[in-house]
Parts: sequence; structure tokens; C-alpha cells
Amino acid sequence: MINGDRIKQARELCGLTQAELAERISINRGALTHYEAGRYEPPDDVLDAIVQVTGFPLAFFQQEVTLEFPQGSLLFRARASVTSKDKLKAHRYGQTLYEMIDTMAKRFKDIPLRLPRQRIDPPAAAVLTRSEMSLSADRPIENLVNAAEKSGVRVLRIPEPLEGIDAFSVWAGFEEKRPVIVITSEAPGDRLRLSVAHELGHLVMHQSIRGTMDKIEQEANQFAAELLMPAEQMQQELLPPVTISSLFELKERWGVSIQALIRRAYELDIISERQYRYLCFQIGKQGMRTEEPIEIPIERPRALRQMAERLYGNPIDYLKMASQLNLPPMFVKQVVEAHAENEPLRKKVSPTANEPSKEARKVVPFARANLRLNDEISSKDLNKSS
Amino acid sequence: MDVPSDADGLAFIESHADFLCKTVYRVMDAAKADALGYFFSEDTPRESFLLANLVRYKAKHYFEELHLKRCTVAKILNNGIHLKFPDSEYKIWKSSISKPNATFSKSNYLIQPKIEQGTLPFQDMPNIYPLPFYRGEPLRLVILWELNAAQEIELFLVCPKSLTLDFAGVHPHWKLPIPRRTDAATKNPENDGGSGGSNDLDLPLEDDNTGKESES
Repeated sequence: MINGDRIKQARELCGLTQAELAERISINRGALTHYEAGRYEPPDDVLDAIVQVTGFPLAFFQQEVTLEFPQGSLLFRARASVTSKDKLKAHRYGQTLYEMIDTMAKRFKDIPLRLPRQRIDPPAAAVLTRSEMSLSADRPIENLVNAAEKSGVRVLRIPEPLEGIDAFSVWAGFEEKRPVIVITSEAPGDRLRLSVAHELGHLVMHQSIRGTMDKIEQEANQFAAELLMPAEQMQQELLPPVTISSLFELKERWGVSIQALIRRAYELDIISERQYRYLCFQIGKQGMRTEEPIEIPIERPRALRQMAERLYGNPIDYLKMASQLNLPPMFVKQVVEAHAENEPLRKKVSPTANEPSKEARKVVPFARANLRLNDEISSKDLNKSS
Repeated sequence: MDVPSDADGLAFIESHADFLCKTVYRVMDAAKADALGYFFSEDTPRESFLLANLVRYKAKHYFEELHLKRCTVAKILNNGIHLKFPDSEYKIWKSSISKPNATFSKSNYLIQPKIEQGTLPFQDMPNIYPLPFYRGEPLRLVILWELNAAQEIELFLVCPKSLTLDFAGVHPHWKLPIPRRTDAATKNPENDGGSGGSNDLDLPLEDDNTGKESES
């Protein structure tokens, strides 16, 4: 039994239109439409041709689609310049990678999910998210991708960067939905962190779409700004006079771009509009709009590769893995290699004079998702969730 | 008339710190966040009466979800939260500071014969704090909550003397702030990644712990 959805999935992963695939396998487009819609089964010779052209094994086309993987933030995240073909490809990659990790994850004990889902105002949601993810309220997040993974978010990285989309997010699965962030670009580390924080904002706040797309995007941006650059700390560290050179150190410390810091200073009324415009002008004049000094390391997700190493050895037996997952070995290898090896987290950022003492660090208390259902909360539990 | 002193109240808070300073705050914070979320998502102005009711409703729900050991969340009318433990009971009310007092609307009052009260925490104290016009069990200690200017929940342990003239609040013999638990606040959060740790996740296998895949 051939699943038409799988033909479509393979085609879109290969970045082919119906017309292009139909031409390559020498059938007319109408027939391919029928096969993809599941109205007819392709004859063996056509199926062989599809296998040849796409590289996906026959077993792949015989699998049921058992997971729900909606469009998620792709609906409102991607820029106008993104082609629908790239959007489809991003979505299909996300779906396929999620199926991969979900299949492997069944062999492991689940990482408990520690991400709130509440439509509250973005700064409050960001504070709550830090608390839920066991991140301190006032320190830089060293590795946001890793912190998200350790909080139960599935972060996946596609091996083939797509133009115009940095990342997107969905709640995937059927009954027990999992938050998923798919990284789709080779953007610099600081931009990528902002994109991941933005997607976390969508996951936390936007279960249902209310308001305009612009408003939703704006809320996710506000969330990302507060998550990566907490207002209270910025007020202490973004001290006037704010100059571009004074922001270098903060960029390294907080892992965000200089432009993001300038924007944050403006939003928090630390600088005036005139100063903001002037600093933006300086950024442009110094050619820093597209490439800033001080490179922030690119954060790559670890979970998928770690699972593969546990299940298929290290070095990974890609053939065995591909055969068990019903995917092309090269595809599997590329996907795995897009994920991080075991490595230390981003280098520890040295405290600055402005950093509060350990005693003064506040951990925002509590959030709903960690309420335990079976007992009074012990101090150990509270520490974990605070 | 033996009125428990401030020292009695502080001792009580200390001996019940886990519950008062941690659990109740956690629940009330969550309830507040949910309640504020309602106004945000509906894009409506915050209305204090509704806000207080939502906080109370959500908090009651969370207390039920917690399934605290040997605790029953009493089903009472909309005038607070009543938690019954085998050896003590807690009444949690909205403070009258933020008007109007959501735990006590006029219409509610008309259909409620009394402010529901159970046996309250000090087991050995006599029932000595009757309220005006109130013919039920005497009032003893209560926990009041309010939102401060920074929109943070604050809890107080209160030894009530009488109702206020508008029946919306409580005149106390004394009123002690219940501190938020602070010991966790000084500990390093586990997920900051600033300790130079590795990016490996905690992923034990379901079926074995050898780290090797079984042939399948």
C-alpha cells in the first residue's frame, strides 16, 4: 500500500514541483496529482522511478503518516520574499526530522516539558519562561538552544539552509503535543538566538491566532527581547552614554547583536529617539548592518545526534539508522551532521562589575506547568522549577 | 480574651513555611498569571472585581490539581479558598485593599447566610472572634492576598477582629506579611549553562541503561 502523502513529502523535500517530478519520471502531471492524493496507486514502474529520482526507499512510501505536524509559525514568520517552494521544503524538512527524532525518542525516557503555554503579555511570558526553564532571571542565557532542549523542546536543524527563513516552530504530535523549533538557516549566532527566542515566544503565547499577523510577530519580538535581554538587567548595564564601542562587551556577554541592544536601549527609554537614529546611522556607516564585529558562536541542537549516537553507535552506523528509519542514508547523515556533537557549552561569560552578587540573584518563582499532581512540593522540586 | 500575638503568628508562619511561603505563593502566582492572561488575550482593560474572581477560581483549580497529601479543597461559595488538612485548615481570602473585594460581592452576600468558616489553624485557641451579624462558627486566622503596585501577589497572615463596615474586609488584631521563600532564590538555576557543562541531554534509554542498542 503506497501512501500518497509520502510521495508528496519526498517530492517537496527534494524541492520539486509536481510538474518537475512528473517530467523526470515520465508521467503526466495529472497522474502524479492522483497518486499524491491517494486516489490511485502508482504502478510499479512509476514507483521505481519515484524511488530513483527522490532517493527515498520504497519502505518510506509505504509508511502511514502518524504525526500531526502543522504549519505553525511558518504561517506568519516567513518573510514576503520567501518562495512558497522554500516554505514547503522547510515544512517538509521539519516534519521529516520530527518523525526521525520522535521514532528514536520512543527508546528514551522523555525529557519533562518545562515550557509554559499562556497568552499573557510578552514580557511577563518571557519572565515566566525563564523561570520554567530553570534559567535565572537576570543572567545571560549561555546556550539558548541547549536550554530549550533541556526543557523538553525538540530543536531540529535542517541540513540545507533556506533563504529568508531563519526558524519556525510548531506544536507537533497527536495527543501529547510537543513544542518543536526547526532551525532553517546558517544565520550568525546572535541572529539565530534571537530567532529561536522569537519562536519560543510563539510556542508560549500563540496557541491560537488572535489579532493580526503583525501583532503576533510584534509580541514574539517583545518576548525574544525580554528573554534574551531582561529589562531590569539592561537598565543596569546599558548605561548612558550608549556608544557602539560600549556595546561590544555587552554583545559578547548577552549573545545578542549590537543592533538588538540598540533597539532594546531605545525601547527601554535608555536612549532617546534621536540617539537611536544616530546609532543606527553609525551602524550603517560602519558596514555593520550585515556583518557585526565579535562573532557569537552558532548554537546547534544536540538531542537528535545524541539519540543517534546512543542507538547506532559512535561513529554512527548511518546505514543501519537509515534502514530503520526508512530514509536515504545520505539524507540521514546530512541531518545528523547538522546537529551538534558532544561539546562544552558556549564559553562561560565572565561576570562584569555590574553583575549582581550571587545572593542578589533572583529566580522568578513558579509557573503553572510545574505544579506537581501527586504531592506537596518539596524544596528540591521547587529549586528545579524556580 | 486570649488573642494570639504577633509572635504566635510568626511562629505559625515559620512552622508552616513550606506551605505558606512556597506552595501558596506558587499557586497564587500561577493563578494571577492566568488571570492577567485573560485580560491580555481578550484585549480588555483589567477590572479588579473580575481579576480577583479569576485569581480565586484559578487558584482553587490549581490547589485541586496539586492533590496535596491529605488535603481537601472544600467546595464553598465564591468567597475564598478553603483547604482542609487533618490537623489544620486554611482560609485564603482576597484582601479588601484593592477594591472592590471580589470575595464578597453584595449580591453574593444577599444569598449567603454567612461567610463560610471552618476550624482554623490554631487548634488550641478558643473560638473568640465573632463577627458582627455573623452567627456561624467564629472567625480565627485567615490568609489574605492582594496585588501590590508591581502586580505581585502578597500574602498576609491575619488575626481578624471584625469585619470592616462595608463587610468587604477584615479589621485585624494583627496582620503579618508572609515572606516569599528565599532559599531557592540564591541557588544557581540548573539550566543556565554557564557552568561550562556539556551540551549532552539527560537521555536514559527506556529499555536498558547500557548505552548500547539491542538488536531489533
